[in-house]
Amino acid sequence: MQKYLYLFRGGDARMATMSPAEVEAHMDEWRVWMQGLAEKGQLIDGLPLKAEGKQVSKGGSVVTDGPFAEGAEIVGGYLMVNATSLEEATELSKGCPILDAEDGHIEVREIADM
Amino acid sequence: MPSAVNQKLDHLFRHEYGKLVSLFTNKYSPHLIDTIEDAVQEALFKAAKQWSFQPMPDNPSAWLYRVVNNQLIDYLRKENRSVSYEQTVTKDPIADEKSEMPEEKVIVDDQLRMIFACCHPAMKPTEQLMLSLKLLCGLSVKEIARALLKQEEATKRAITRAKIKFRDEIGELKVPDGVELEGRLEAVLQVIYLLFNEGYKATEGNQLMKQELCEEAIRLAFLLTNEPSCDKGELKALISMMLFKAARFPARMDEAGNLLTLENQDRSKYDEDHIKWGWQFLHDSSKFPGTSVYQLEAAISCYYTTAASFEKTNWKAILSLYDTLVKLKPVPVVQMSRILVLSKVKGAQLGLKEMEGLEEVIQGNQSFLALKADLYAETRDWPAARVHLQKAISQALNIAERRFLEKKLQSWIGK
Repeated sequence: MQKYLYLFRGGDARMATMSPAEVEAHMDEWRVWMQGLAEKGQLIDGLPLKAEGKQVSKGGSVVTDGPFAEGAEIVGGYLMVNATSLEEATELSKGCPILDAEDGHIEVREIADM
Repeated sequence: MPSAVNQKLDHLFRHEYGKLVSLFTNKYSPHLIDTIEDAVQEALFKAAKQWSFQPMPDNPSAWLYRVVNNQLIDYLRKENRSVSYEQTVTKDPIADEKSEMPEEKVIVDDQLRMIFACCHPAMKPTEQLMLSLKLLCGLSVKEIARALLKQEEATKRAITRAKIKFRDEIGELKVPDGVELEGRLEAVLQVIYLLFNEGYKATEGNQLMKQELCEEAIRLAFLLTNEPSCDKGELKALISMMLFKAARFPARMDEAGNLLTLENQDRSKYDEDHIKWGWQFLHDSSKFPGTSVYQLEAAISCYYTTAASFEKTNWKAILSLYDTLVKLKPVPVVQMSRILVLSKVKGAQLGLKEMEGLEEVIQGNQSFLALKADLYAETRDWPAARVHLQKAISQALNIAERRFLEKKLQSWIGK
């Protein structure tokens, strides 16, 4: 088994037009998907990320507010899963409800085993 | 497991929306209604994001309350307008308040005051209805348009208009007293009645959504029972009527989604708890002096729902209730219902004769034509029956009703 990281981007714009009941239904979809991963023992960890943050560079001498990217470019959350291959991890990611949003996308990366 | 997840969250966000908007409108000011709605919406997004990944906190309501509160405090500080609002704001809320979710009594009272604010006389009845759906029931503009079968743009405009009045006319949120209460309570009951009927009437659209409207109407009515000055005969009778009607929900549709009229419903599917409580509220309402429209309607619904079968319905009793009701509330729907019952008791000929008196007022109305067709069918005047049914079909507003009438017409061909 290898570990893979999903980086989620986008999907927030759609939420802004949803009614409370629709937001709830959207959350339910996520929970069902996550629960599915957990039941197969593939879910390791995952959390949403807040929009605000800092950028640190130049040996720590420069600190700026950021990310300040476009909505669809900000990493909105991450998830770590167990899978046998990058292909399986990619297949698995296709069930994620973020893909229902037009601007929602997932970056799948293998975590290097040092 | 997914179903368990859904069950736990059943309507959580929708109910929290109305609750939180009420709490913060009371806490701050009706002037801030837009900001408050935005803050609540934002908190629900945050929650949805976080709870997608993590288990929900033990007390999701308290979590949401804190998030909304913090956001509003941030907003007020940024605007630096806190001085112009109530004292609770001018005292630094973070310093002297733990921003804890208020106790149940406060939550109920705040929603009560909100119901009266949404039914402020500055607003027209449809505006009162829409505003209640928006602010108290947590429906979006799109959902309100769908539920009331209105254009989305028009609904949006009406709600915007209503909200301007809400901001400018309400002032302090309170349950009125004395003479003022009577008029306002009448408006409040009327909105609940409208809300219930919008959900109950057989129109197109999502049936689950419609049932939800009925549930919301019942919920708001139950909220009012917490206020002794409101908890009188009329309110109890209104609740009773809604319960007797809502008891039939499980039997109203066949498996293919076709509407079933009373005579075709499987009465064993009627909800017994609703009926039991319907009786209780009807009984309680009779302890108050006078006979209200709601009481008559509750009694009529009671006879319909509790009859052992359609044939065994006590038409005579229902007719005498309608005879009184039609005097208190001479509107087409009551007049037609009375004629239908009258024809059960005294024959279709007499029913048709009485319809002549209504002809000028409600001519061309779909239900009027369908009723006339039925009465002609009963007198075995099939050609006249078919003609009227065809006219009714051409007036049908929704698919379910048209399908229902067309099916009937087919069975009448060749008779």
